[in-house]
Amino acid sequence: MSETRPPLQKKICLAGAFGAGKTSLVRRFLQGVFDERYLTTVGVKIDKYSLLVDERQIDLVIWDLAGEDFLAPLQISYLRGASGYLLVADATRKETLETAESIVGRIAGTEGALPFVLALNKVDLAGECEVSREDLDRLETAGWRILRTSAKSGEGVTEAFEDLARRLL
Amino acid sequence: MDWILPILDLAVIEPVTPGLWKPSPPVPDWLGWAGGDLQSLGNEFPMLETFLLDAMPFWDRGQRGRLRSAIWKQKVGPAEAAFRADAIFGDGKRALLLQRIDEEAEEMRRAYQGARDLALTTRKFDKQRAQAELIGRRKDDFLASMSHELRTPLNSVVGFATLLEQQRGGELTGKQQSFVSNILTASRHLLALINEVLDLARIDAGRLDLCFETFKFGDCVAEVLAILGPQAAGRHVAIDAAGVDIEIFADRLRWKQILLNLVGNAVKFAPEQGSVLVEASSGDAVYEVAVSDDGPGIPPQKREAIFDRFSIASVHGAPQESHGLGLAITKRLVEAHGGLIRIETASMGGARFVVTVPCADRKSP
Repeated sequence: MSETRPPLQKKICLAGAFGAGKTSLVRRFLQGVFDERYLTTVGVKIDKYSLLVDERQIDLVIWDLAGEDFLAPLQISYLRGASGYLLVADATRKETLETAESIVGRIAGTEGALPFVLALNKVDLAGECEVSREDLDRLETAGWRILRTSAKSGEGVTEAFEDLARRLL
Repeated sequence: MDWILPILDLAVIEPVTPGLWKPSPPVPDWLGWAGGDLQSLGNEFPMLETFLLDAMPFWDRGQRGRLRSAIWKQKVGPAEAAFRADAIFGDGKRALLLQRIDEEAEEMRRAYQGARDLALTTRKFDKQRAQAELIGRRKDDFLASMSHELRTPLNSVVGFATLLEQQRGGELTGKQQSFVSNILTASRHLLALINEVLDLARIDAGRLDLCFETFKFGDCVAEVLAILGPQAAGRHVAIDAAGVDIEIFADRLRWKQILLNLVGNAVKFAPEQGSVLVEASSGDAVYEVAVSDDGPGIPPQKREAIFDRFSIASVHGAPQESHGLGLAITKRLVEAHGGLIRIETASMGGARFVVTVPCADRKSP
């Protein structure tokens, strides 16, 4: 008789610059839809989702944190109790990758080295891409796990969440 | 108190015994929590799990006041709602207020949305402008390079054609002299055009170096009139100068170029036996130079476009030999001196180009 393991409950956060597509990624992941309109997030948006990773059920509590900009820096305190985070950068705005690097440093400084995956989003806009192969090589060399995603087409979205969830096991 | 809580969409959660908390009735429909430990409340509202980490020591300090959480959104039942929590301590009592703030959150979101939309739009425009500038610079570089490459062999053509015209290589027949004359006219025209394109490209690329000095404007006028004199005489156009005996502080060569363009145009567009007048004046703050003719003039609606590159002279209403670059260059040279150029109707009926340049920069051009 096989033993049924209880589901794991894990809090994960989405963090990154404003307009990088965090909310769109969550929406694509949870509902399989995409909306062209940009609706900024204020504070935090919390969702729950269960998924099976390596035959283990993980109940994710997904905290979609308001994007960082000149109006509001990221509230690192929201990450308390988080098991990991999905870092989101916009492939068409190079400065969002710089914001992502800054966020990783700040989180490590207060919460320790949490597992994270970088979702390089909006890769469907290939012609407008500002993030270079060299930028990504540098980060991968530093140990970053990077996945190319498009909330619009769905490319890499499930993989990004599952990859992060796998790191939480 | 009971009646106001539902209006405020507020739940007051208070301890009844150590470790056991309950909402004050009436309990809002959305709360979905009848009471228990705060951990179980945190399961319903995950944000509270984090907020209570700060709220507990706040209550334990026993100081009167309030600690407020961030806004969060989550699903309650099938719909999504916005919430905010406050930890309150007063009169020895601790309480947790949990409030639905859908409208306030939406108003705040709209305010942020406006600022972020603006930031994204500004960035988009900045990017497009940077791309346009890059394309412009490449085009200017290309023009400068091409013009230079064309000018070198063309100088050879002009040089050898001149030698032929002077019959240095032997006597020419009348027909041959006519052919050589055509070659010279066409190649000089082409050389002048290339020089103008090169000038314009240099100015647009920001590679125009001005060499400021104080000089007598009258001398500059005399040199220009010496060059244009034969052309004016050929059409019996009289050129007069008034008030040009002033000193100005500017790039002498470029001023000569400005004057050559303006007076050259005036001579071209003045009628046979017409008149051209060059005037100058110097005030405390500006020099003003004006060149007038008694030609057909320029209608007000065409005055702005005439400074565009390749805006050809037919705007004047008189077809003349022109590349349509002279006034574009003139305007840029005037602007490089910090000045302005405008067109008026001359008292003699034609066009009057007025150049105004500040004269306060003698020490730091």
